Amino acid sequence: MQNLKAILVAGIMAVTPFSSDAAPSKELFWDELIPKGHVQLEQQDASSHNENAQASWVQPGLDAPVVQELNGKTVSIPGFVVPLEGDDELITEFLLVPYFGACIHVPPPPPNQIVHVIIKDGVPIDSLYDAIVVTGELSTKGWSGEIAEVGYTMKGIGVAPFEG
Amino acid sequence: MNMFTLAQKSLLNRKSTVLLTLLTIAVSVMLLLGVERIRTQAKASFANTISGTDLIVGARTGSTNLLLYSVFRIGHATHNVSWQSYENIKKHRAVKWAIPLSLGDSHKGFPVLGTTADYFKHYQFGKKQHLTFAQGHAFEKQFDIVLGAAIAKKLGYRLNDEIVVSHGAGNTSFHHHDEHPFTVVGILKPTGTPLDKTLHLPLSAIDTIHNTGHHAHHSHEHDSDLIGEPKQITAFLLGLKSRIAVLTLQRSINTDAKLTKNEALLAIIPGLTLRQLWEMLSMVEQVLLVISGFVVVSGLLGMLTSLLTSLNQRRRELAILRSLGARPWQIAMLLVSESVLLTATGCIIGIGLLYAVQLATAGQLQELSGLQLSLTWLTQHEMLLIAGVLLSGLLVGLIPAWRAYKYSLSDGMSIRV
Repeated sequence: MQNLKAILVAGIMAVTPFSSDAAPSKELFWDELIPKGHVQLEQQDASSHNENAQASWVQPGLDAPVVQELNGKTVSIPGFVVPLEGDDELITEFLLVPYFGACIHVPPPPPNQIVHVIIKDGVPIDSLYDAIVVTGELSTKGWSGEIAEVGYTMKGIGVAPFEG
Repeated sequence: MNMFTLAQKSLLNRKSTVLLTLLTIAVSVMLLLGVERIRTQAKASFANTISGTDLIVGARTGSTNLLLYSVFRIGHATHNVSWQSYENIKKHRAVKWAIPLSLGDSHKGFPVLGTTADYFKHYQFGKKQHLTFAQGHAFEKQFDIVLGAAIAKKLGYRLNDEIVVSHGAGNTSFHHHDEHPFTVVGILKPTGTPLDKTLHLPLSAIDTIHNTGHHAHHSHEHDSDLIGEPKQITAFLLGLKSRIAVLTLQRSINTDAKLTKNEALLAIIPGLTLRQLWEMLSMVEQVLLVISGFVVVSGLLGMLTSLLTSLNQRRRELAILRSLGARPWQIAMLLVSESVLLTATGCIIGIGLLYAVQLATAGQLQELSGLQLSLTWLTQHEMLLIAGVLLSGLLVGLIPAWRAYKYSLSDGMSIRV
């Protein structure tokens, strides 16, 4: 019996991704992507503000700052996938968001709560309703240099199902 | 003597039933592989049609519907987008480029797309591949036209040919606008997407073919005006400076009255909508797979029937084998090898049939459904399916084998039939 248990545990260890021999990557939570001391506008406030304001179609919170220290760090972030590019099986480019993507009831998350992930070889993603954990190298460099477009990009290494 | 050679010789003695059994298995394997092939390749060609576009904007409708009519030319738009909204959204600070699309007209059944020259610069398909010209260049004048590869081939058009475009989306139209012939200035390279079947015109020309009476004012001064003064377009594609802004801009277009001047618009992320379409269709796919699976099962059951019925007639044959020193398990093995041989040969014939049918119908399939099936070597997935069929063949063979084993034990050398 004891033997059987040992075999089982060994088996589980073998199939679990990111086992201990892989490079240690820091598990990151979404609020760690917001710089300390920066008061993020609440989602609900943002939406009501949005409807009343004059220049309303620029969403407040669009100029959300990023945590510069995270640049170049290899981290794991759990989240939901909004697919952008890929073929019928693999997704090569997607947005990682903290709650189920493209939800029509609430405004989208501010730019510092979205990670643009590019995985060169692509990953199969079975269901968009399931949360995943993405591991990769984070970059805080924006493409265009305009404040509004600065956000996180990630060179993805691997994706695992989220087991919370 | 080897068990397989013995099985082969025995099978050859029962040619007609064996041939029919083989045919049943072959046809069922062909069907299984064919359905799988159409399913996977149709999906792949769908997925390859649009790339690098961040948002598609059209009148408010279902997101799948918008994707289908704007990109795949399937179905029709229920409403148009005002040019004003297009201009407004184009000016949004997150937008890098915008391509207007005006659909709804046809030429000999092929869709006509009114757009700007930016289309050829920004539109991407497959894995971020840009459009390239096989001959000629993008349109520069109002009556220039650029053809997709398939049209040029099908209708035999060459550079500098003159084409008349009709109003409406049917095969023929009763309102031909002979006064506005277009000149072919470019032919695109094949892309394997609905683009191959599309005629591309400058946006201004779409207005022209609808205003038959006013063609007089299209003098040469207006020749270089490719946009004209359109009041509405069918949809437009947006490329953003940063893909992170996709969700925010989508939200703004869908809900913000200021940006769209109260026009009911819908913005979709093509990659996401395509995924949602897959998830919606996955049940249909499963059903197709299950049906073709059952066809294979019925093929194998046919084989089982013929093996079992012939078994009774072969009791004498089995007794002779026994008298020659064959053991009961060897008799059983003989039966298993027979069914494996039958299934394997059936699979090989089925694969041959698949390629034959594919070769014979490729042209028609493309014309009818726009589906391009490439003649590829068996994929890993298909190999697995064949392996599954072989394994089931082996398992099915165990039933007559067990019967034969019992017979050979009870009958011994002498049988009383």
